[in-house]
Amino acid sequence: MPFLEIENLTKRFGETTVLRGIDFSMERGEVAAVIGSSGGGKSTFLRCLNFLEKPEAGKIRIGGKELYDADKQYTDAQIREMRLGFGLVFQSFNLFPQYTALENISMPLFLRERERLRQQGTFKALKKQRQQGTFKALKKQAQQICREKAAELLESVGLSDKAGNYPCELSGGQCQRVAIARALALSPAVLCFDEPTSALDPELTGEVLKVIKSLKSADRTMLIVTHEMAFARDVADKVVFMANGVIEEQGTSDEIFENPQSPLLRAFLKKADNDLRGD
Amino acid sequence: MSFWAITGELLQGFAYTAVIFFATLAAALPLGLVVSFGSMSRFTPLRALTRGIVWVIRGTPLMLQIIVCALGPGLWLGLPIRTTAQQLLMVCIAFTINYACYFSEIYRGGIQSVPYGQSEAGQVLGMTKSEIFFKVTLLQFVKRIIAPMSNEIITLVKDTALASVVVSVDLFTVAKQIVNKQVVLWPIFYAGLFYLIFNGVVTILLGRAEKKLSYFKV
Repeated sequence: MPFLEIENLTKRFGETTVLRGIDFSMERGEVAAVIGSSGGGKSTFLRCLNFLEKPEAGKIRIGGKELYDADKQYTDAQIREMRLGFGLVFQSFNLFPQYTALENISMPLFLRERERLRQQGTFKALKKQRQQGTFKALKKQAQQICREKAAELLESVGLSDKAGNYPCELSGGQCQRVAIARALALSPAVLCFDEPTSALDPELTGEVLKVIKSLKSADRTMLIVTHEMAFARDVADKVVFMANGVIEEQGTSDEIFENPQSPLLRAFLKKADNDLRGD
Repeated sequence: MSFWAITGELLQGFAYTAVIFFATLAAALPLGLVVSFGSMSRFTPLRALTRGIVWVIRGTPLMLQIIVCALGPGLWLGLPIRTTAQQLLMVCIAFTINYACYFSEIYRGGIQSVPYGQSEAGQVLGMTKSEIFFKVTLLQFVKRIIAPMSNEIITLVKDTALASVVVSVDLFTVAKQIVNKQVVLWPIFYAGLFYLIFNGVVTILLGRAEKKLSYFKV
């Protein structure tokens, strides 16, 4: 059974249908690269998976369990819970400028930990704990654990020396690496990247792609929307070509790049190749 | 009247001016936020009502609003405003409503200028709406509004002189009374010095706040 299953995902903006019944699946630990021309629905697809857009129709299942069904009504709290199944790295990083690199990672982590602590005890028990000062101690301990985890994550993206720096003191590539560490912090089932290198200078692109490549492991499922064809070919187990709101073609990188079937994909790859050569 | 006697009287007037200033600021800062939420509401009737109120308040003279607040209860509710404390209260209410409307527009601009991506980043990290507001948006928005808010707060210091329409205890009215009684002009310029120094202190404090938030860029 596939780890991630998406069925008939449909999204409209007014009269325009951006996603036309997407059916898609991924195995656990698989890396899928989504390619295609701008306006093909790639980013909207990721945004729907992260519930930043509400799909008009469709179902999402993770690990065989139904996570989302567009026909059902969900509360804000349920949507928030569902979002934690997916992590998203934005094109423009969206780091919080008032926090250091470390705090950008530890703050959201601590908020979730605090929520968990609150949910564990009844109000009365918490009040009692507060009186004894243990709640404060628990909070402090949780804060410390979150900071330690954030430091580990920063180290994993090669930025432990930048922990105390604010985003305005980091390069674009470093900001994106912090954003990747932040998305990893909440251990999402599927990590999504929305054109992670599009806002970067060519010389900074490499360092980000290297980090993404290093994240590939048996239990990390990743969905990457990218314009970096060489990267998609190198890293992805599966390449998905989207055009006009549908998955036009999908397959292994060899199938997609060496033997494209759809005329649209052939035209897209030819154009990408010409752009690369500067023709 | 000696210089020191006039200084003493002006200081008494200044105390009332300071009361109007701080009371207005303390009430209008949070009220402005409520009004800005109303004017950004997705609920059309509430949005239209709030924007209508802001339009009326910003479109009419503050002096007129003070007069309405001071005379309105007596004229329409049969509750005449007589004591100085009551008059001061009504003046503060008029100032609060007026400034809350101006502040609300600055807040609205500040909130809307925080990139939407910041809120989306908070959402994908599982934050609640209030966590996003307090942990992500608030400080960025405060940093953006400090400069325009400084302008309004400095204007408020000077606008307190309009209280003289209703009350006769504020700094400007006291200065005018001394001028009339003593037939000398300098106390009015002396009172101006009080406003200037007060504004100087306010400017320094707001400048410090701006500097404190300069550690990050938005």
